[in-house]
Amino acid sequence: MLLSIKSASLTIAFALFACISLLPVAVMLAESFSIQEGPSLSNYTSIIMDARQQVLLKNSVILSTAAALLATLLGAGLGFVLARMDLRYKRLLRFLLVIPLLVPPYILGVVWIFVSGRNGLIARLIGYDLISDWTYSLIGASIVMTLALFPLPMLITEAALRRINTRLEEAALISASGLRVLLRITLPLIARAVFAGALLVFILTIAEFGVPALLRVRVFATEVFTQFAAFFNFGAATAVATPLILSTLVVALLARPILSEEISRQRMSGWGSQRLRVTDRWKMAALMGTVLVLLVATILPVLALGVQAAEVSGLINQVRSSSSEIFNSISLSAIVATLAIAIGLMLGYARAQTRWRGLIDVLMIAIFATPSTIIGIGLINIWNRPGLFSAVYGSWTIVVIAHLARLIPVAALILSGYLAQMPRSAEEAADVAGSGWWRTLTRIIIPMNQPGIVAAWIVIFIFSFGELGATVLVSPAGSSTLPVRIYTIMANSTDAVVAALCLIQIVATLIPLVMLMLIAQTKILN
Amino acid sequence: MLKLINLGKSFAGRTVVRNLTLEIIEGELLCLLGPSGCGKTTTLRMIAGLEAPDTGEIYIEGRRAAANGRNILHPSQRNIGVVFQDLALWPHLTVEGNLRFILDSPKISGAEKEVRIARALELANLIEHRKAYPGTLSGGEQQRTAIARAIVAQPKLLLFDEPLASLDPHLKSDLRQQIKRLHKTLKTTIIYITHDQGEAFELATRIAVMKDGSVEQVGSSEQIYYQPSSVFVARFVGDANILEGKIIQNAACSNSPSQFLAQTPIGMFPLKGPQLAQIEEAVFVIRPEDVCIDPNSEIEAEVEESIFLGGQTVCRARIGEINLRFYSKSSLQGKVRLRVQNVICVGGRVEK
Repeated sequence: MLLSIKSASLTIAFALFACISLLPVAVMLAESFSIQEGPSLSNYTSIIMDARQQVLLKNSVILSTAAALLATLLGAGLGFVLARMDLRYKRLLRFLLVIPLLVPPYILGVVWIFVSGRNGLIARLIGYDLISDWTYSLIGASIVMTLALFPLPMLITEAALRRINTRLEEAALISASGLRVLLRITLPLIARAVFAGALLVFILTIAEFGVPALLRVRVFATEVFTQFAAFFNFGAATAVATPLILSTLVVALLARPILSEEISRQRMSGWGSQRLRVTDRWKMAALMGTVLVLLVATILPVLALGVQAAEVSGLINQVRSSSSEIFNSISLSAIVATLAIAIGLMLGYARAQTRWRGLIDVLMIAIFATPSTIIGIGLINIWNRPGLFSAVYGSWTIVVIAHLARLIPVAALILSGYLAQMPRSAEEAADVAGSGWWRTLTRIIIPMNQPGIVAAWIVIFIFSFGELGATVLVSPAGSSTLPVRIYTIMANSTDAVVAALCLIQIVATLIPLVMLMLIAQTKILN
Repeated sequence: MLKLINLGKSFAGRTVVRNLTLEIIEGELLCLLGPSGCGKTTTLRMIAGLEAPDTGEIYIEGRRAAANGRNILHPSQRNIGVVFQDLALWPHLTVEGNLRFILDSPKISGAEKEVRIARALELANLIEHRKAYPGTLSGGEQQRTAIARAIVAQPKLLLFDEPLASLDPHLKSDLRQQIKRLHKTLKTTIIYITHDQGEAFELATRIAVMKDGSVEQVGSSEQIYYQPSSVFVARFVGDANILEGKIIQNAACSNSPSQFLAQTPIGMFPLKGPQLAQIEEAVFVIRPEDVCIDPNSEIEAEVEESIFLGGQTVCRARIGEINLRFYSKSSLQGKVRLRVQNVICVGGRVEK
């Protein structure tokens, strides 16, 4: 039977996905059921008994839940402001508020240390050490993750509000006050989306390595790393990893119905819910709140870093000495983004058309939620062998694989949202004309989904650019990326140097983003 | 030209098309007419090859296109053109680009492609818009682009899936004229889906009325209007007064043109039409336009409702238990005498 180009392409994409994303996790899962002596459940039983494990569990759950709650409260409020208030320069405001999301969370962690530490900004301003006790603490980590991730619930809530059919609110306004309509009509309508945002924050926080590592909070993601990198205790690392993998599977199963639906509804054109205005009294309060968030989340970090970096002698020299890391990061992320889009497009296409949508989503979310440190260890387990494998292991290839492992699912989910929105008749019309699948893909499907593809590329680029947990484990000896460099010199270098590198990271992240946005703007205007 | 034999199709347990048999003659414009959910779009998609029938066979120009639950001929092998309900114009290609994509095949020379594109544009009145993008065109222009794209490859069969459903009446009427003209010029076979009886009557050479997944009746518009095979068809294609009664033999005069009489609650009427027989339980249709005021008539009725519609007034009058709708030039009240000019016999019982 002749294999059509379509099934060949999709099969290749799935095979790559399986090797890159599923394999490391599967390996770790398999290892979790065995110890040196043979198959056993002792890794799991120790979780319940081991006090250390309980601490990890407690910290991980508290951190993720706190971040989810706070980020959602903050983000949803801002989402309302962006969706319902008349403001000038709203686009600029939204962009500035989104910046904390674009920057790797650990950089905000660095900022937090600078600001709250014993010699930090607050101490220096007030002349008194007020909060340095909380610098390296669960509270500090929660605050940092909240500030790093609130733009997600913000964007999701804004989108959900814009999607509401205005008629629904108007119908209620005939007989109820504005506040009642808000509570009884508007909020229930966006509840699912808001919950989806909270879930995403939860998932991203569970998977986060950099911030808890920096702020010395012991969570699963960091413990996996410590056991492995510091003690080379593969078994212990696996033991720590297993509850995490299981919990991500559980979370994925729970989150899937909500996130699936939100993904599919991504681009529905809004009905313009500008009607329900905020009264003046609230408006003032909302504005002040927004400005406050803006100051703390966006302006403050840049200022804090700037102040510290200003002390560095020769900023240019710093840039020069890190130039190879900067180059590595940019080219690595560009390659990762492009490959992720290519593979993710196939997967997203398959997902949009198949009955197995639910299963695929669970898989994607589960892998995305797996901490990168676990991916890293799984990859080492697979590729650290003699022969052909070591060629991959010692090179940048394994770093690419490490990034792709978690990011292919992200690309697939984003792209499938856009692909599902495209009417099937566009493809059918090409079918009727006798256009082969590959031709339809390249001449019709991809051009029609260009905005989505560009958006997905940017998102993957940003994620990849800030990736730390896996990269720090699998980077080839002697060279690394910018995030890894920042992480490794934190202990040994002056604050000023670290701050300078962080600023470079932020700028390096934003430049391609702004460029792409400008290109996109001009294309849209045309 | 096209043979549909006993087609069946189900989606998720719901039968959408059942036992559908239909033959389409070359060069005709056949309308598939029916209410939403009657299976007309699914039938069209099976003809196009976008779905495969679960049961039954499709023959296109003598070649077997689908059988045994699968498609044998790919849509592009069926020599068809499709106008989709949402038009499916590719927004990133110009009008010309949309047409060119269809023709992109090594079998046609470059010069021939240009000729065909120019011809399609001319037939659809789009020459001045050839470099425009669909997003910048008006509704009517987009429709014509979709039509141009369907005809550019000069297919033998054109399929229209309710293309005018979303347009305003003025535009609809314009485009219907254009489609009619196109049919005359190209002489292609056209299958046209609609739920609008007026549209079907205006465009079609033959109409197939569909209900619940199968064809209720096929025929010209006159045949369907004056000889409906069921109450459903009678009601769907026009206003109908339904009466139950009997058909009895006219013993009185063997010379009279009608051998049979309709015995109804409001009186006895002569019946015309083929294949009549004495039937105990028959259903009759009286069209409102066949009822008029006649002071000499024996049928007395009480007008209960009179609605002014502009061109005419629709009145509803009561005779005993029966309500009769009829047209009048002006509002009426009270008692009137009505004459029935034509009674149509429909088989079977009244379907509610």
